[in-house]
Amino acid sequence: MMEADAKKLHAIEIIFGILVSIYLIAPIFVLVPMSFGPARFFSFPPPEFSVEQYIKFFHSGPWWRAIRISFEVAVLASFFATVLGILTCLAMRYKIPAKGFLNAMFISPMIVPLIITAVALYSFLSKFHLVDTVPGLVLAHTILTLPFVIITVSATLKGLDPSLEHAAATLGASPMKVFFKVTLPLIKRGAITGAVFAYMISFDETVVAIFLSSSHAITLPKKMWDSIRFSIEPILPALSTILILFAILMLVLLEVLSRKRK
Amino acid sequence: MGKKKISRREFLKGTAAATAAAAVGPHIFVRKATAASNKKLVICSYGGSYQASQRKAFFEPFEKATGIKVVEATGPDLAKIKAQVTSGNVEWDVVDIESRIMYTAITENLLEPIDTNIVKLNTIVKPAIHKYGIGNIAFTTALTYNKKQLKKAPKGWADFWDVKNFPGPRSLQDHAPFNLEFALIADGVNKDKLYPLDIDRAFKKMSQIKGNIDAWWESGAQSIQQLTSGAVVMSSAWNGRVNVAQSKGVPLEIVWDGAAYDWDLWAVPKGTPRKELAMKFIQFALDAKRQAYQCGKLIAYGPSNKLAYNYIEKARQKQLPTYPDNLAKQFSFNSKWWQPRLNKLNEKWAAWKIS
Amino acid sequence: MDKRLKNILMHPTAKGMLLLTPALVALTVFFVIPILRMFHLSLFDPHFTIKYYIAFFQRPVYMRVMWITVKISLIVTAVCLLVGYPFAFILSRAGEKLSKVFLVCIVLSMCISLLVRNFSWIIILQRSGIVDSFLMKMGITHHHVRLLHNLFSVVLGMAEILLPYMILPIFSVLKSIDPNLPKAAQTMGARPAQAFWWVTFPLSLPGVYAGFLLVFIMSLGYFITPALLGGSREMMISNMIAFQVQTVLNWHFAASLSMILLVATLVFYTIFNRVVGLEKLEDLGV
Repeated sequence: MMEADAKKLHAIEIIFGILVSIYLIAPIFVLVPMSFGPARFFSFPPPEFSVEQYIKFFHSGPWWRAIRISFEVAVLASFFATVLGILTCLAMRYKIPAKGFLNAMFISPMIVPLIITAVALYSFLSKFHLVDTVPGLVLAHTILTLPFVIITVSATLKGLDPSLEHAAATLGASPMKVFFKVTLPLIKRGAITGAVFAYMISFDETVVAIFLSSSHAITLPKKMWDSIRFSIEPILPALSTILILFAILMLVLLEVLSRKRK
Repeated sequence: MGKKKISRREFLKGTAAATAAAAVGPHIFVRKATAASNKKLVICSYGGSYQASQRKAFFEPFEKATGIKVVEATGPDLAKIKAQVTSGNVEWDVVDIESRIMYTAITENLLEPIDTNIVKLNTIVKPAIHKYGIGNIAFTTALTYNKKQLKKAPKGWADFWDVKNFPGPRSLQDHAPFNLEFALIADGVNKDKLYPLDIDRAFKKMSQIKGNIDAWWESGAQSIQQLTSGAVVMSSAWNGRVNVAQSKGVPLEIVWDGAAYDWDLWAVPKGTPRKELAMKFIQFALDAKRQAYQCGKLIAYGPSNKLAYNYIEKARQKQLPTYPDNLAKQFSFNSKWWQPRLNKLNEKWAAWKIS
Repeated sequence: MDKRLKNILMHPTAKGMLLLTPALVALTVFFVIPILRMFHLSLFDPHFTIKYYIAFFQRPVYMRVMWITVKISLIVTAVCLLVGYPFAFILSRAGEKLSKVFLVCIVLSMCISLLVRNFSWIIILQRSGIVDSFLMKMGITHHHVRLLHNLFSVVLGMAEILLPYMILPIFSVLKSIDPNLPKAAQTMGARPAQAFWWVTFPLSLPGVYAGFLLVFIMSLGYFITPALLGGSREMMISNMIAFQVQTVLNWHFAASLSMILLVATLVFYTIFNRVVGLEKLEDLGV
């Protein structure tokens, strides 16, 4: 009697788990099949198999331009965020005054609601003519992704044995050499993971882009936002599928990075 | 010992240089970009099929004739124009704006006066001539419906409010102008006796239909899309865009009765570095044959150049807002009445929407 | 001179400060200062005034927006809790293969762009969309059902995106509970359900608090989902701020609204810190 009950419960658990999982990744179940339908209207399931949407998308200059700009901004932002993040994490190992306050300050871009950051930066950067420019977006995204890099790298640094660096220094290596030859390789994985996080966050970042990106420097999320709001373009399911694919690739990359043992 | 000192200083120097470069670098890129900008003209319009028609009739020919690149932008809202002009950083050289936007921009001192030495106005219809803007097209905002979605054809705004006989979700533009007039017409007010608007009565009538509005449209393309996809059965829409959709086989119809008639105008934001070029473009775009191409072949709006009608087919003229039969059924949108009340009514609209 | 400078620079604190400078400068100039400017804008017009804060409390529409924001946030948090806790519990007890599948789904959902996810809900819920067509085909409904651009669609969309932030904290706490404890309770005569409620659940509360606060705080500041999936009645405070900036051009008022939202967020984060500890955020990140 208990056995049957336990089995029933177990079955219910699994079904519930599967249902919730489907709920979480509903886009994959809907947009991917839809992307292989005609580029005219959105019906599900698509009436016929077609790669029209993909063809249209690949020939679309404006969409590729948006992808290029998002890519540029994401690469630059993640680079700057990683460099600044590493420097900050290294700095935090020393005895600095008000460490708790500084910590909170560095995490704050993650805490402050994006709309506030977006509007504040829009107002501020317009004074320097940086709105709707790639540099403006890079500045904004660097600040936004910095906390994530700091969190990731500091986690790696926590497990770092300082005696290794000490040993190198006593053997006569200069601070630069110690950093590049001993410290950096040990935090490399954390740094790369942080850089990948920063890249992903910047590439998909929408709220700040809505305000800082307009006609010249239009990012992919801003273009998608305009499209979904004002004029749903037929290539959206295909574009979504491609983005989902990239998300999966990034995930695999992160998984590979976390598996690599030294 | 000596070695350590140098390497540490160098390290610090390197960091300092990197930070400085990171902070200053972007500025340099931007300065370079703005300096090399005189070979272009930035024009901002309403996007979608309307802007596509302008591209074909004006932008591309202008590029061919002058060698100057036309850079397009969409979304000519007052907020952005004001932000550009007051910050001294004008990005848009020419804007295409609706009449009430122009009147508001004038009170805020945001526009350049039209240079009548460059822009010749002798064949432009009088209602299109203003000191700070010249009408380019007369457009109609009308009740539009999807023939396939409704069993009966609606005949006017009263039917828009008649949910029983014309069931289905509706849409309207997400702002107060035009909608208040439509509401009053639906409530029985004679279309020629609308102004001054009875605001309370209009909002009361709007509240009757609010629950049936599925999503409010913000762009011309969106209004057409909602109707085409069947997300809504009736909406307000700009007649030219409807006409373009019809030519593509979409089963949409407009109702001229109780529709609103208004002007779109070319204007030049104050302080643009390419003012003369902007004026030259406006002169170019007011040409009779070019307007006739746009309105006669591409999108069914009424041209502002009297002579353009000589080049538009009679059958086509019947589809334009300016055709006498059509004109008689519409009311003229009174942007002069709206301009001083725009902000207040926009706020009231926002409050009403979430109540 | 050289020696003194060298001694100063060799001091560990100095080294630390120098390393910190680039990021500190960047953050101050491009984050702290812009936000301080907003604060200034909310109080100076250019003379000192509190009218933009008074307006928030005086005009009913703004209190209404605040109420809508809190209401939606509470509902979303409740939904995430009701769905997320059982899921986290199931996840903590699932076999290795299944739990891996579940975890992949969670993490994958967090990696997919927000816009893609909202767009998929539009496709699913729109008139004659997947659900509407299905319901009519099955004969369950005879007219189109209004599933999009209302409270339902906003909650559905927000809960989907925020669910992982409820699941992961609870899961990590559940995983850390010694499985022998509930077992011990059962050997002493408790039924499995009792063992859960009297032993496991209380021990899992720190995770529940963390998830609850995290989801609630994130919901308060939400912008994209209510804009895309909501109707006119689902205007949250972030949408109102955008409206003030883009349409009404009232920067002062946008600034005061932003400060109010910021203070509310900080208050809740302080509670979070007291109850859970900010380090938990770091654990989630990694």
